[in-house]
Amino acid sequence: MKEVIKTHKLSKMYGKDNALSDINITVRQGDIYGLVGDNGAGKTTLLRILTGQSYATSGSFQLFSKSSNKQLSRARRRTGVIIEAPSFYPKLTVEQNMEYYRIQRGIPGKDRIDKVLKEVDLLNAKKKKFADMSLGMKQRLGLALTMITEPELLLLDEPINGLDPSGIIEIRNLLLRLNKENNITILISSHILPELSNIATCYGFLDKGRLVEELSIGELEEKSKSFLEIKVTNAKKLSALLEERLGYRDYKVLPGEIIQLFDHNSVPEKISELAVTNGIGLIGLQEKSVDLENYYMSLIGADKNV
Amino acid sequence: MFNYIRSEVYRNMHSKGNNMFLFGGMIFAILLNLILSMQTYGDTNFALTSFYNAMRIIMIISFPLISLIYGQEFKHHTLKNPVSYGISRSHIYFGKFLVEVALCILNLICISAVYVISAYIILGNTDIIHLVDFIRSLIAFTPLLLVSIAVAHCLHFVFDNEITVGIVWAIIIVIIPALLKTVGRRIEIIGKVANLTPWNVIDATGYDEVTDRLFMTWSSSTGFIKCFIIGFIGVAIFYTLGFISFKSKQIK
Repeated sequence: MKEVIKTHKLSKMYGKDNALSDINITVRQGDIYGLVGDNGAGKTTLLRILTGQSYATSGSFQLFSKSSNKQLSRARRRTGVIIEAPSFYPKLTVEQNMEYYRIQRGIPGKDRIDKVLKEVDLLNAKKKKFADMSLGMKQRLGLALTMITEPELLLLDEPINGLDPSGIIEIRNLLLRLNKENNITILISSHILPELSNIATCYGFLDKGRLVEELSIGELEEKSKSFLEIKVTNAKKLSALLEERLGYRDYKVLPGEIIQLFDHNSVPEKISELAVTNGIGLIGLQEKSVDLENYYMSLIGADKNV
Repeated sequence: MFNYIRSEVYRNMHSKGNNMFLFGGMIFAILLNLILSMQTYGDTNFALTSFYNAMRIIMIISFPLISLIYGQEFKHHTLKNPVSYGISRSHIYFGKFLVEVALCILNLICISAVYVISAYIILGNTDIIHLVDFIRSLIAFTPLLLVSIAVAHCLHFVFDNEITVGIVWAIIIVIIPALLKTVGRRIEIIGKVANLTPWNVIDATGYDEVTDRLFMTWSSSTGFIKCFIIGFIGVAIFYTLGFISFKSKQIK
């Protein structure tokens, strides 16, 4: 698949602070790439550099395989962008704001405005001034602007901030539809990890300006496979028995006499019988799985412990 | 770039502030002539002469108009939209400057026209020589006004805060020239420098009692050319400074 975004050792310094450090990410055509990270991890800085709002201190990047300044300007015309809060002229109405950008972007036909406003359910609010809109409506107007040019790539920074639950579902379905029907590539950052896990096909985990890990949904599923969590009175003894008697080798012994058993063939009944017959008190046995949130926490937590 | 300029014109045409400024200015011009008609000295000569003698005030009034046209882009964070769409910063910078210049001059022409027409309708003495002086003053004043626009334009791209822009604009356009002029009364070289600032160029140089004409710097041929040279250099300096700043600026 074609590479839509590719960064090479992208770094950004603010004075002596490293906002981004040697970032290498690749977003391929058709991907929904989820950028995950805490506040200050560098998500917005990365998006700002990609959109030309800021400049990298070192490193380079390509958009649609273009890298020179002139080529990047042209490539950006194939993108739709929301970074932080959507920004419009507060005293102009929704329609006037959209018309302003329609003229600016040389889009023929005013009917395009109605079409995109309808997609984000703002058609009835087009006479409303931007200053009088709720946060959720502003977010939807921001999304309408990203779609006005029929982009091939969407760069979205926290696009569901301020939306109510039904608004979140609408936007999620809209993004999924745009991705599936129009093959639009999406780079999206969000704090709402369960929501991100509903749409993303690959992830980049950022922490303190560094890319900690980049992986596809398949790789994440592999890493997030379900496991048995066993709490016993003697974890060390039971782990030895599990290896010796049942042949289980894929496990982790955690503090607090806890064993996480990742073996797919593990049978809880056999394990409880093994524990009881060997005089090990079985306190708890539960099947668990790692979701995006837990995976992120374990990744960043592990990183923090280093 | 043409599309960017068109969009800026569209935005300004739909901005109440700009329209209020224009129509407010026109009504104020008529009111001035109505007030003059109640005075014994209130004739067309006086109306036109006092207008071009007070062009410093027009220069000051131009600042809020430029701010209105600029549209508080940094306050509303709206500049990130064209930038992230790939419209080059040079096009944005030049496009905005062009619209500011066009709308400022349009306002000046419209308000002046209303002032002149209302003066000729309301007041007595329809001497043509003062109208010729008036038109010559408007032409000579235009490059000086462009310097004021260029300074405001430059500062709007340097500072995010509107108040800071206003203060620095006043320092550059009004306060420094006024100080130079004061010091220049004692130190000749500083006096010469002071006379090269737009603020000090707008000054009366003499008065002819017979024809009742007020002579300004631009009344002579050399003074007229001087206005254009100062205008060209001033615009070039501040336009470039602002662009250098904007080119490396992080847009939020």
